[in-house]
This record gives sequence, C-alpha cells and structure tokens, in this order.
Amino acid sequence: MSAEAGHGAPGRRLTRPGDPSPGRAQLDGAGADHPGVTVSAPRGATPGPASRRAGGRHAAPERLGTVLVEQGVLTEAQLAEALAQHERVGAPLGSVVLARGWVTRRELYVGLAAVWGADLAFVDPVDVDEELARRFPAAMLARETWVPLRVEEDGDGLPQVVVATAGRPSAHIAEVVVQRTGIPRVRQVVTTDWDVQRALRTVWRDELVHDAVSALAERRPDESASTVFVWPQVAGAIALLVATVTGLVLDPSLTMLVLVATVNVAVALAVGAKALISTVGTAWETVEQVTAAEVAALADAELPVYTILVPVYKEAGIVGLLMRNLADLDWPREKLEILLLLEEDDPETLAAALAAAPPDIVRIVVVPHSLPKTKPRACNVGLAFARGEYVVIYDAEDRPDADQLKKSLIAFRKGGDDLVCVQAALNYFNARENLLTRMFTLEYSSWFDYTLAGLDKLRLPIPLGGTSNHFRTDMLRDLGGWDPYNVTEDADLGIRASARGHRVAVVNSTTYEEANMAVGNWIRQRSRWIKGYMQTVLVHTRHPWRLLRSVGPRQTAGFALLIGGTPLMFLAAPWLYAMLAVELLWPGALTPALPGWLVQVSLANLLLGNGVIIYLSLLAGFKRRTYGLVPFALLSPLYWLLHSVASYKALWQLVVNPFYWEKTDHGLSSHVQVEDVPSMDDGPATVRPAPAQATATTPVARDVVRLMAPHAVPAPSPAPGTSPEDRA
Amino acid sequence: MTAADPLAVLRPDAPPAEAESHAESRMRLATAAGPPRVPMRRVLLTCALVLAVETVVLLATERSLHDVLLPGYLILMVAFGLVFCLGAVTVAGFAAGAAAAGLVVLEPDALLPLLGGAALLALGCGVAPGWARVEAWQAAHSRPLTAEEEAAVAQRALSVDRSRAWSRGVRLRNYWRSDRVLAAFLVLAFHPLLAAFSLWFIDWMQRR
Repeated sequence: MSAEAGHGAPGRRLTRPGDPSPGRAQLDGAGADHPGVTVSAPRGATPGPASRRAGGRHAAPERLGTVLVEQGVLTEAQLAEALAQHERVGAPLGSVVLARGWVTRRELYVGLAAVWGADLAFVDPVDVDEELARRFPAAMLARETWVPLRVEEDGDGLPQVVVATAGRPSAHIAEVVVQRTGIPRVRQVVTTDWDVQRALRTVWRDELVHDAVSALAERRPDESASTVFVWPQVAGAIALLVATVTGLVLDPSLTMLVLVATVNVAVALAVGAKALISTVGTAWETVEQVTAAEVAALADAELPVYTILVPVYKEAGIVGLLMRNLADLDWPREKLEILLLLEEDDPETLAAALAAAPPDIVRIVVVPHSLPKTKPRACNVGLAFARGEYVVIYDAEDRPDADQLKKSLIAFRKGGDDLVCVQAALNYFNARENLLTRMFTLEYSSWFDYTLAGLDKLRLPIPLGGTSNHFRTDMLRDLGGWDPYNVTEDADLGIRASARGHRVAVVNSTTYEEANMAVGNWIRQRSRWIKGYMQTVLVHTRHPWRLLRSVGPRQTAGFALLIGGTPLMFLAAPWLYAMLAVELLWPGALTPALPGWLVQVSLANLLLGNGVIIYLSLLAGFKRRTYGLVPFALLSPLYWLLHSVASYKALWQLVVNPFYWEKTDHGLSSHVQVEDVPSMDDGPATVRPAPAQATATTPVARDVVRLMAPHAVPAPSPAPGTSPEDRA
Repeated sequence: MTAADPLAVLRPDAPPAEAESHAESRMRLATAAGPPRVPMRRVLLTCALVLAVETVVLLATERSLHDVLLPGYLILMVAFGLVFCLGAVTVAGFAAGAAAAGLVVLEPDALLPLLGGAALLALGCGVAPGWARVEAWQAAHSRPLTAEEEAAVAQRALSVDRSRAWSRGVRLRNYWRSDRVLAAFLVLAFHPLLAAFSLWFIDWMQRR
C-alpha cells in the first residue's frame, strides 16, 4: 500500500511538485491541480509547481472521494466514514479506502489518475525499454515508486520519455529523467504501485539481486562476511597451530599448561561477563522503557508509516497464521505496510500466500533466486521496497505484543538521534510443549529479559535477536542493510551499528515465537547461530585497534567476551568434561601432563561455570513469573552440552560451507496448527479493518492478472475541474 | 450498569457492552497496583554501613577473620532474604543465596539450618502480597500467551483489598502459589548447596 505525505493533516508536510523528495505515492489526490503530466524542461531545469487551488484543507481528498463516488466504486456513506478516518489517523484517503477494502487498487488508481489529470497505464514489464531502464538505479525507483517505460515521439515528432508513476506526476521525476537521459520532454502516466514493483522485480531483477547480495561487500568489504578469513587471521591461525605443534614436540607439559590455562581463563571470563551482565539486567526487571501511559498518549495522526518485513521460505503452512498474528497490532492499517518476502523457488508458499487472500496492506515480494540464499538477502530486497519511516522484521509464526510498534516508536523518540534499532524481547508461546521447549524458553528468557537488558544498561554492543528488531529505515540503509553472507545477520548488524557510533536499545515488549521442539531441528538452528557468532567475531576483529578506537575498551571487551566467548565456552566444555571424567575414573592420570593445581582449577571452572548457567536459568523464570519452568534450570548443563554438539558442527561448517543457511522448520508446534485461521480483517485492531465482503483482492486479482498494455487501457474520466488540454 | 467483576470469566456469549465493561474492569484492576518498589540504593547503603560498623568493632576486639565474616554474611543473608521475600526483587535472592553460600564455606555444618531457613523464606514468598502484585503487574503488561492461568491467579490476588483481607483473616488462596514457593526455594538454596557440594567434592578428591 502506498501511503505517504500529502494528505493535508496537521503537522504533515504536503508533497508538492518541485519538492526534493516526493517520491512516494500519494493516495489522496493532493496536488490534483497539477497543470499536466507532459513536462517540457530545459536540461537540468526544474518546472515550477503550479499554484495550489484554495479549496480548504481537504479539497484534494474530497475530490478523490467525489471521483470514486462518481465512478460508482464508493458510496456516499463510505466516503463520509473514510474522510472521518482520514481526519482521525492522518492517512491519505486512498490508503483509508484501500485498507478497508472498499475499492480495489485498480479502481483507486483510476480515480487518482482522474484527479491528477494523468493517463492511466497498467505496466507490463515487457514494455519497459531495458536500455532506458539501465540509466535508473532500482533502489531509487523502488523508494520513489516509478519506472521509466520507453522513449517515444510526441505530437511534434520530438522524443519524449514516458514514465509510469504510482504517485502524483511531479517535477522531481521529470528532473531526474532529464538529468539521466538528456531528453527534455517527459510524459508521466499513472500506474499502480504493484505494477511498478512488478516491473522492478522483472526488469531490474539483476540489479536488485546484486544490491541485496553484494552492496555491503562492495561498499565496505571490511564489514562483510563474504570473505570468511582475511589473510592476517589465516596467518595468525597457522602461526598458532605451528607454535602449538612445535611446543608439544619440544615441551609438551609447558604447552599443555599454556593451552589449558588459556582456555580456562577465557571460559572463566566469558562466564563471569555473562553472569555480571545478566545480574545487572536482573536489577531492572520491572523497569519499563516505555509506559502504557506513553502509548495511550500517542495520537494516530502523528504515527508514521511502518513497514513490516516477513521473510518466509518453505513455510506454506503458517502464512495464514501470520495474518492473524499481525492483525492484533495496534497501528492504523492505513499506515502499515507488510512485505511478505517469498523466494522465487518456493511456489508452495507463494500459492499459500495467495490463497490466504491477504488484505491490501500486505504486498507479496517474490525475491529473485540467487546465492547465498539467506534471510538477510531477502530482507535487503524487502528493504529496497520499504516505504515506511521505520521497519521491523517478524517471522511468519511471530506473535508480537499488540502495542509493540507504538512502544518502539516512543523508544526511538526518547532514544536520541543515534538510536538506530530497538530490540523487543522474544519469548515462546509453546514453552511447555516438551523438555526442549522448556529449556529453550528458559534460555531465551535469560537472554532477552536479563542479558540484553544488562547490555543496554551497561551501554555495551547488543547483538540483535532474529526478529522484532525495529529500525529507522534511512539509518538502516546507511548502514548497508543486512550482511547476506552472515548467517546471524542480526547479531552482526547490532555490532556493526555500535562500531559505527550508533546505538541499539531494548524495549519492554515481547514477541512470542515458536520454540524449537525437535532436537535435530534445534541443532541445525543452533549451529547456524553459533556459526554466525563466529563469523561476526571474525569480521569485527579484522582491525582490532580500529574497533577499540571506535567503540572503546569496555565495549570491545563486552563484545569479545559475549560474542566471542559464547562459542568458545561451548567448544571448551567437552574438553573440561573429559578432564573431569579422566580424573574421576583414573585419579592422577592427568598429573604427568598437567600440574595438579591446573587440573583442580579446570574442574572448579567447570563446576562454577555450570553453577552460573544453572543460576541464570533459575532466575530466568522470574521476570515472566513462569515458575513452573524454574526447576528445569537444574538440567541446564545437559542442555548446554547440546550447544557443544552444535558448536562443533558450526565450526566445521564455518570452514567447509560458511554461507550455508541451516533452515529451521517452523510450524511444528501444536500451538500453530490451528484449523481456522481468520484473516487480518477479523483481528482486533484500533482501526476496525474492512468488512469481509469488501476484501476484494483475490489471488487471481493479485498476481495472476495479465497486465494490460498502456494503449489498451481505457482513458479515465476527466477529473473535475480539469480541462482536456490539461491532460496530456 | 454495575461494573463487571474483573475476576470472573467472561461468558462466551456475553453481549458487547458486558465484554467492554469486563475489559475495562480488568484494565483498571491491572493498572491500579504497580510492583512494590524497594529502595535498593537505601538497602545497599544500610547494609554497607552495618557491615562496616560490625567489621570495625569486631576487628577492634581482635576477633578472627572467621568471626568477622560470619555475622557479615548473616546480615547480608537476612537483609536480602527479606527484600527477596517481601519486595519480590529477584536479584536480592541472588545476593541472599550468595551470602548463605559464604556461611556454608565458613561453617559447613550450617547447611541444614540454612536450607530450613530458605524453606521458611520460600514459604513466605508463597504468601507475600508483593509477589502477587508483581505477578499482576506482569500479567497486565504482557500478553499472557503461555501463562493464562498464572495471569488469572495474579489478577485474583489483586482483587482483595489488602488491609480488609488481612483483618478478616488471611485469605491465603489469593496469594499462595506452590510453584512460586518451589522456585524461590531453589533460588535461595542453590548457592549454599553448590558451595557444600564443592567443599565435599574437593575433600573427596583429595582423600581418594
């Protein structure tokens, strides 16, 4: 859904011809008095905006409404209600009627074209001149929702560029076209934002994929995991290996002492850091970053457009559920944009998504096939199309708290200009399904409720969780988006943001996910996470001094101990257990190789480490008062041994298949296998969504419709008050 | 129309007006009480002051380090145990447990009495209104997806005016939660048990 400025609401900037960045579609017909859509401009010149007709604040929306009523697609009663809603939430009238399902997208754009006095065209991607297309960057076109179509001759035999825009024809578009083509005449026709998106996906496919995959690696290679090991790291590893082997040959006892002591110190520091950070977080367990009163004080009219990215791959079974979960969000539908990111080679999920007949605020973006096939790659494509001021990622099975978007918005407003991301807590809705889900829930509760809160309070770098990270869209783009080569792109992004001087904060809102309930599935998922942590450490320690200078010693230590220490703990644990077993079964067997005191220290380290882990898990049940889970904390050492299994798999994969994305199966829980999944329109919402009969978008209408060539589109009715000459 | 009982289960066939009234009552109930706010800074300062005085006095009377540490740990354990029990501050349980572990290191024979004390304190947590208030607050601030029953119990606990309830006789069922008692006991007892096990293990390893 295109929903942006230009609606005349208080406090909102009107986008008018000549504005520097009008690029987004305006769905209320604002600026309808534009003199025409064929713009002749001298090279580099900017045609000036026409004077705005004095018609009251809502002249343009009312005019669009009148047109829609005249065209018979909207009733007078609906128009009155839509205008009231437009007034209340400050969203464009077009967004209101679309969100309520009272008009189809095509009907709306027919009306808009009439109001804007422009021709309407339904764009078939094959009609786009590819040579012309190459002059325009896809990212810009996606943000501004227009595409160049072709060069043709006008009535005077002069060349003119035809562009199709999903927004009001504007001087800005004309200027860009003139700058990039040198052709001074530009004809702007109106099309739907879906047509623009489809054309972009088809014609600019290679560029979109390239940007999503390689932009970070090309712009900032030092921050990309596309190179797993840089040569100093390889040299360091080889030197370490050679030194170890040499030491074992020359002086085995000393070498073993150094090795075991180093591992012990590292593990003790990592465990200690985790305990300290989590304890600090514990002290803030009833502190709210955003209160309910602050949420209640937010007026809908001041809310910006929010984009929700939902990457889905081979999860056909739970696409319908997504609609129900997101339906609960307390945010005006008119200001919500949901991008469902599906992969090209996943027709089952696409079919399921189409069958779910999502409302108009959901856009299905089919991500072109390319490698690496990772979630961050899909998210980068989604980011290119995102039109919200803020963007958040949810998984398909996520159930965010209803007020999460509002709380995040307030957290951004309170957090200052350097706040790039707000992380909501994650927890599980199927915690009591089996032992594994219980352990997983305890671990997640400890991590999100205490560890991240502690990191936030100590102002240490925060590795983001997999979903429910809310970003300022422009800052995220500046950061380069997600690294598609990093399999924990979220953790990497949090660290990268800190390294670039930005801040990540947590907010007191929760998203409920599905806990992994099968051991094999869990190991796959966990090995990916641990491999991603390893990648993140490798990336951000390429220039340790630079890191130290940019974030400071305390933050560097926090990063090293938490992100680097976590895989290290898991890798070291089996060796410490092995020492314990040997010492128990054959007392004194280790003494020839190691000093007795070091054996004692190692065993104490193992004991204390497990004690800390158990204790943190014991506390984890308290914040959410899930006391029933607390006794299971005593099994944490067994659970952590599973981590060790996953960590060795991760280490192996880091070497042989570093970019491979271990897919986690979702939808296994009985909690998500519901028989009747209502649509978004059935969910409770602040703004009551469209009545069922008005959800006109059918699968056929959505994606299988054959787009018409421009010349085949019937001319729209003249806009009231627009002379035929004004319409090119 | 009288206000709906927020503790009652809303009938599935309730008319919209009743549902709305019910929702309002529940919201009012949930937001009426916040979690108990314990001035932790004051608690910490007081403990530090008492400890300092105790240490100075005992050192001045030429007591051993053992004699100095023992009452110190005891003071910390009691103070933070009370904060944990009455104020429902989880991190205080950590401190109380750690102090108890210190006592076990000094006096290994004190384990059983300490566990008995932890059990009593945990029973106290089972009936302490502070915990019910925190639970109600938590239930009101989080979508109760995994713990509807916990939220319901917590909401019920709030419904009773505390002064009247206690004056009419303690209505334990409004505050009592067995799982809370077990969890509190584990938190309080874990440290001393770990300390005792460590001492036993070290001793056993050396005697083998």
